[in-house]
Order: sequence, then structure tokens, then C-alpha cells
Amino acid sequence: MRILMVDDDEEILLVAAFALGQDPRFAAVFTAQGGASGLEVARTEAPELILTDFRMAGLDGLQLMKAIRTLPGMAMTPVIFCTGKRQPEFLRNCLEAGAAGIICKPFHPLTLADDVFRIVRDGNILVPERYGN
Amino acid sequence: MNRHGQAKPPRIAGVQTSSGGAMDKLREFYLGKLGGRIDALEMAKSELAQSPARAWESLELIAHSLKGSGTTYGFPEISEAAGALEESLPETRAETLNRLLRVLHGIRDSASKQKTSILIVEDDPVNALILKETLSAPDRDIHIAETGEQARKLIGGQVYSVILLDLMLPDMDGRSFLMRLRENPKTAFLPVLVLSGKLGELTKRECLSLGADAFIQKPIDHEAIRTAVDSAVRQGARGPGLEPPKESWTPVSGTIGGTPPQTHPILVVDDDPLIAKIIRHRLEKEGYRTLWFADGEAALNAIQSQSFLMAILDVKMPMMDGFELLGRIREFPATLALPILILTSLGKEQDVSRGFDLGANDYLAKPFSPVELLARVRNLLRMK
Repeated sequence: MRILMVDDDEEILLVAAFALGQDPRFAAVFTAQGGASGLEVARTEAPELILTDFRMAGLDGLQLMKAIRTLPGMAMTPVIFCTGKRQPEFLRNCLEAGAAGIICKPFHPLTLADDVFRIVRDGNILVPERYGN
Repeated sequence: MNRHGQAKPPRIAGVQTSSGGAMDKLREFYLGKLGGRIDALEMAKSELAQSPARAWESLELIAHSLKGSGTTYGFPEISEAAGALEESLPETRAETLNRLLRVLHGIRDSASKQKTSILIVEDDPVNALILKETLSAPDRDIHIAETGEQARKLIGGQVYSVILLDLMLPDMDGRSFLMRLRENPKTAFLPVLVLSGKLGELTKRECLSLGADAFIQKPIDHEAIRTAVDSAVRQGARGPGLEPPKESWTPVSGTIGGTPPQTHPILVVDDDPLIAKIIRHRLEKEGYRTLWFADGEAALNAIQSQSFLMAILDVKMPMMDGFELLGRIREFPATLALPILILTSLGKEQDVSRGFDLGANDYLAKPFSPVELLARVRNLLRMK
């Protein structure tokens, strides 16, 4: 599976590329810094799965998802939000807008790949924060 | 934008339970960036009084980003303090900002203070614990391995400053463990203190010749061992590092110890700076002077302009290989009788016979034990 990770933060991209990159289930891991760059990579690489931050300067996660939906062949590509927001209303809005699921930030680098697959395969739409509070 | 397409990094074994070296590197990277974050927060803080709205804009961005990344990188206290700032009300803002700054400063300071790691290889748990207790200090990580195999695994995973080695291990003799340590470039220079209940000058001499830095008799005198470890830690901090010399690849000369030239040096020609360093370190510890060249051409030039005690040549080198160099050395009347030891790769018998045909006096197969190297050097020089 070819996955694209979009985030404003270089540190997050780096750790995600590391965490996803070593999982053999992913044939390729693309990262893009910011929504605009994410859209561009989505267009050129046609990933099968997209993991994106919600709050980003310029194009935010929701806008990015809507833009990606208009790309040829990507109307159904699962988009997972990776966000620090916890408000139930916000989460519901994301899902209603068509997100495949939500992974709460801060994510755990060693469970990120499994969490992504849990959403895609099991339809488990909300992965709570992995570090008890 | 970064792309990690096609070229996937290799899967790291056991990633589900341990983060491995790559995660440590990522953490280092993250810590390296903290300084910039601290500066940006300080700047926003100074603006907070005059233009609170603008300052808050950048503060909130940084706080949001730190909240999302801190825990992921193993610093939950960053996420927690940054989260508090992100959700803070204007009247508590300055206070929560200060708390976040304190957390960041604390993490950066403790990261910059390098911890010393000490490995105790000792099968007796009571002895190991007493040693650990004796040597413990806030800036020290002390690990215990009960078997040689456990120790080998630990050493593979991280860098130690000092190793304390019991000679009687359940799965192997401490001496063979020590020899293996010395053969591994990563641990060739690591200070090793041998602990032994065996009385005897012979064992002691044997260990020291195998490369032990000190020999400590059991029962252990706590004060003595503390002093020995402290001095080994200090020595390790300024001992020969494993980085190749900066001026490598071009002729490099000189001695590590800077001893005055009393005899002719031993010529070492090896394109691998690390191997060269190990060889030179061992030879110089025995009192020999050495001169190292990374390529054959430069070595040939040196041979024509000065005398050497003997030469140690690596066979496999780019440009001019050891055989060609050997043949050329034998062309000069002055070096017709120079004792020459060649370093071959294990399992290449044809190299050995070719070397002898070209005039080598002895050979050593890589990977070699430093002890054997010294024995062969002594032998060649005796025959001279």
C-alpha cells in the first residue's frame, strides 16, 4: 500500500516516515509538508491512503481532503486525520465530511502503522491517544 | 517536501517492542530543534506585553506543534506543558508559557549533559549489584550483563564508556570475550577493567596483553574500583576516537603518542582509516612508532626518502593494491630485505601464496586479533 503523510511539522513527518517506512505493508511512504504540497504529491503519486494533520496553514486537512476527492481516481481514497483535537463535535464533523477515521495526536511512533490499518481494515474510526492520560 | 518513495528504509527488527537506533537518532534531531523553539517562544514572550494578539498568534502555533510532537518523540512533559499553554486563558498565559520554557530548558540541558554508560559483565547477581551501587552516579547509566552473550547484545546496541569484566562467565571465558572486544573496531579502544578472583601474575599479564586496561583483584576494594572507573571514564573521554582522521585519504604521517623518534617507524599502508588506527594504536602502545599511508603511491614515495623498521600492507586497496606495492618495494635495493607483513582477507589462500611469491615475509588474515598482530610483528623484527 502506498501512503501519503501530510503535516505542517517537519518533526512529525520525520517520525511518521520512520514509523511507516519500516512496516512492510507499506510499499511506499510519501511525506508532504503542508496542505498545498500534500495536494501536489497526491496528484503526482496517486497514493492509496492519505494520513493528514488537520490544522495546517493554507490548506487545512478538511480542504485538502475535499481537493483530493476531485483528483482523477481518488474520489474514494481513504483519508485519515491525525489531530490533537478531541472535541466530539469536531470528530463527528470530520467523519461526516468523509474522513475514514481519526488518529489522535500525539500518536505513538511504534503503533502508528497498526493504527492506520485498524482504521482501513477494521473500520475502527477513532484511535485514541496511545499514551494514557 | 520530502518524499520517501521506492527506496524504503530497511525494517528494523523488534520494532514493536523497542524503538532501536533510528528512533534515538530521531530524538536527537528533535532535541536539536528545541533550541530554535525556545528562541521563538522567548521572542514571543518579550512581545506579549506590547502586542499580546500578535505574540499569541505565534505562541499558539508553537504550542500546538509542540503538543503534537513532544509525546511522539518520548517527551510527554512537552506535550503536557504545551497543551496547557495552547488552552490557557490570557490571564494565565505568561505563567503557563514560563512553565513550558522551564520544561524545554530542562530537557535540553539534561540532553546536552552526556551520560556515561558503564557495562558490568558479571554472572554473580550480588557482586553485580554491589558494583552497580558502588559506581552509581546521577550522570551514569549502569547496565549489567550476566553472560558474555548478553553483554555482546548490549554492546551491539549502544556505546559504553567503560566495561567491567568478570573473568569467569557462565558461557565463555572472560579472556576470549576480551579478545573479541578488541577485534571489533567499535570496541577496540574501549576501556576494559578485568575483575578476577584468580590470584596470579600470569592471568594478569595475559589479560593486559589481550588489551585489558586494568586488572582488579577480587574481593573488590570499593574505593579502588571507583578510582579505576573514574580514571577510565576520563581516559575514554580523551582516548583515541573511532572517527577516521580528518586528513585521511592523502598521506598522513605522525605518531599518535608523539614520542620522540628513537627508532625507525613501522610503515602501515591501509586504505581503511579505522583498521589503520587500530593497528597503529596497538603498535604504539607497545612502544613502536608508526607512519600510516592510505594509498600505495604515497607509501612508495615515503619508502624512497626514509627508512622503516618493517611494513604492514593491506592487500585490498583501491588504486595501487598491496601486491603491486609489495612488488615495487622489492624493486628498490634499500628495501629488498625490509620485513613485510601483508593483511589478507580470510579464506583467500591464493592471496597468501601470491604475497609470498612477491616477497612478503608473513601474512595475517583479516579480521585479525591485535594480539596475534603484535606477536607476528615481534617475530619478524627478531628475525631481521
